[in-house]
Amino acid sequence: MLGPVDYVLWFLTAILEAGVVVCALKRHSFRRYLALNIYMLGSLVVTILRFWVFSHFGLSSPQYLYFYFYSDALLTVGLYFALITLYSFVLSELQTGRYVRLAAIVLLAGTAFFSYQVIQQSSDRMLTRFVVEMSQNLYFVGLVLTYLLWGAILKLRETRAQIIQLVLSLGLYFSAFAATYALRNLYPSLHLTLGFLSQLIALSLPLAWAYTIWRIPVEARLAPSRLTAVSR
Amino acid sequence: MSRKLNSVLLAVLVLTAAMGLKTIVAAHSNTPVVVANAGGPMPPTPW
Repeated sequence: MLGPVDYVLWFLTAILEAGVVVCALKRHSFRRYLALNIYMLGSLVVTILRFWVFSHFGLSSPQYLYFYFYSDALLTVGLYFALITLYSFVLSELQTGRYVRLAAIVLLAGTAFFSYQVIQQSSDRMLTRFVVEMSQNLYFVGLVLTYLLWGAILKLRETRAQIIQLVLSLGLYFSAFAATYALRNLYPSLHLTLGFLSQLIALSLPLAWAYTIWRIPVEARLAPSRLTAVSR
Repeated sequence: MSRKLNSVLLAVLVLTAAMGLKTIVAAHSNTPVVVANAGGPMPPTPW
């Protein structure tokens, strides 16, 4: 049985996801961040369809269960490719586009192979377990990739404020996911509270992206702060 | 060729780091499932 907080978070997520796409269209940034916007559009469709499946079949129904985890896996793959496009932005001057794509495909295939190795002992619901395992593993791959990208931003002295803000929001999102994963593992009895937490994490990403696209101009630059030597 | 091999090596290193991190985080493993994509509450899992 869902409480009012669940419904509020659900509708707020849908509104914010729609907000990202609207902000991108208004600011003429839809094509610039095409992968990010397609991911957010997909996320909005999934949020709406989940509500439809929930209202027709219920929270404990197999329909909702399967739709929930399969759609999550698809969205995780979408977010993975959105993150890879941010790599293309940051590394654009190094002409490394094809190597980034190669590494991305190898990494995705490696994650799928690793996930299969983990679940191959299971006898029932093998495909569903594979999808869930793959999705969970991709969250952690996304976490490592985001921190690597942040390192590249610092190393290459990337100054585009929008890119920096988008990468930081992804870092926050994946870190919060990992923290929730650890807390659920340490305190299984807190699954109800942590359920809210994961919904808040899902809400934080469209909020940060909508803010970034709406408030930060494309040409805005963030210069790293410098130390000044004061003569005495 | 060496740049391609470097790309593959980097991908394998990232995968190793990610799976290592997941193993550390899930040290007392009954491997919980956490979902943070799109809206909606998580259904009770049968596994």
